[in-house]
Amino acid sequence: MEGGHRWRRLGQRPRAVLLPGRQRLLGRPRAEPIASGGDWRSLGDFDQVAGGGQRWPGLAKPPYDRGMRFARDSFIVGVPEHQLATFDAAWQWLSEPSGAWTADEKLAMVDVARNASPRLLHDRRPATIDHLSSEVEIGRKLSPLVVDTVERVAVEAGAICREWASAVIDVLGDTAYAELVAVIATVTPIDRACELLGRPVEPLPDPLAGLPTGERADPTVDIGAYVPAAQGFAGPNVAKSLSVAPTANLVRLGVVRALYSGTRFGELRWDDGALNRPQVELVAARTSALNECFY
Amino acid sequence: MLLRASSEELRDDVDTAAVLGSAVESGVSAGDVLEVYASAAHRGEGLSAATAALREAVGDAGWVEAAMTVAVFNGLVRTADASGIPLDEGVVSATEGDRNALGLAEFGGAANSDLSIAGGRSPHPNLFN
Repeated sequence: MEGGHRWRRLGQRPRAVLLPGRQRLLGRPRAEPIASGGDWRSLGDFDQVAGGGQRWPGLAKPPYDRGMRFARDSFIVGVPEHQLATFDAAWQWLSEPSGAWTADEKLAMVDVARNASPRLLHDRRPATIDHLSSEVEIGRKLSPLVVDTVERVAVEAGAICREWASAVIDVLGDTAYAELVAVIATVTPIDRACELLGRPVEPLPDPLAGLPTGERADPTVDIGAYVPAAQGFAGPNVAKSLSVAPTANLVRLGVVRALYSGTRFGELRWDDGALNRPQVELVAARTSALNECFY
Repeated sequence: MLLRASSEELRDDVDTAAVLGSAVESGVSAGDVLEVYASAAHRGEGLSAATAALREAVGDAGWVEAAMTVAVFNGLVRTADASGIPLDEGVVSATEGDRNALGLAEFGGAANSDLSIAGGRSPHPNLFN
């Protein structure tokens, strides 16, 4: 079975490099430079498996080296470690297949969202999908329907209506739609935080191979939203809204808790931070109003 | 809702009209620089000046918290609007006055809620735990 050794060039995105023969450098946390001008970090051996993908003996899943990702000193001001860890966990989730999407597809969604911009009023999208194909064209990763959906969620969410959402969900399925929304709702706050705190958005991780897992909450209950929610999910509608896709929803909520209330939501007084609760809620309410969000 | 409730806890007299950017005093400490910062963060204009004023008023830690709040609510509003969730039971009646005063029914997401519901229990206390 072909295999190799995975290396990471420090300061760059990880990539697999098949070196002559099998390099066995297990136990060495740092390798000697193998390319001029660069330092490399050993991540361990892998085996190439039939059908694609890699198998990492002894590991539950391929190592995800946070390394330079969301490095504390990449921000121009101190950011709490638990928030950086949450960002990293979200990036890990992006790099893996989920219930309805491959990692490649999720990362392609992020790319679409990052490059989307609101249209002028006269050029707004119609609330129909009849003109959009759900087939993925050769050389692309997402269908025109998915691209359009991502763009709407990313920059025109306030204009989404039930008629449109129902049409999309009829084609994609509720789990796929919920996960798509979760991708945007997870990455958007992280990107905004980076931009507001003086650094570029984080480069996307390499996708891990694998097919969608088929994960979906069961049973589910109608909460009056466009997609059902997991039955028995405690919390307000905004917390359970995407729970039909359990893992995606938990990743999203992890970001929310880390950046907003933590475990303090039920308390009206927040005395342990730099801002008190009314100050935080003023910023929250103003942001919501600017986005014309009724909820 | 939470702005009013948390302000009342501190015995502050808040004017929720400030969230719409009107030229009223919010009643929240450093509310003027926080409101300007949130607006600048959304529009991308005047952000440097707004950030400098905010840091002067609440320090770097306060700036980080404000930035994180702007960031996380950019995710929450997309979640709410894209999923079409209605207002939670109890929130409809608890917020009727503020919603009417602020004209929030003009926002598209209002169509997802039955605003004719009267009465109801208090909002769920553990929203994100």
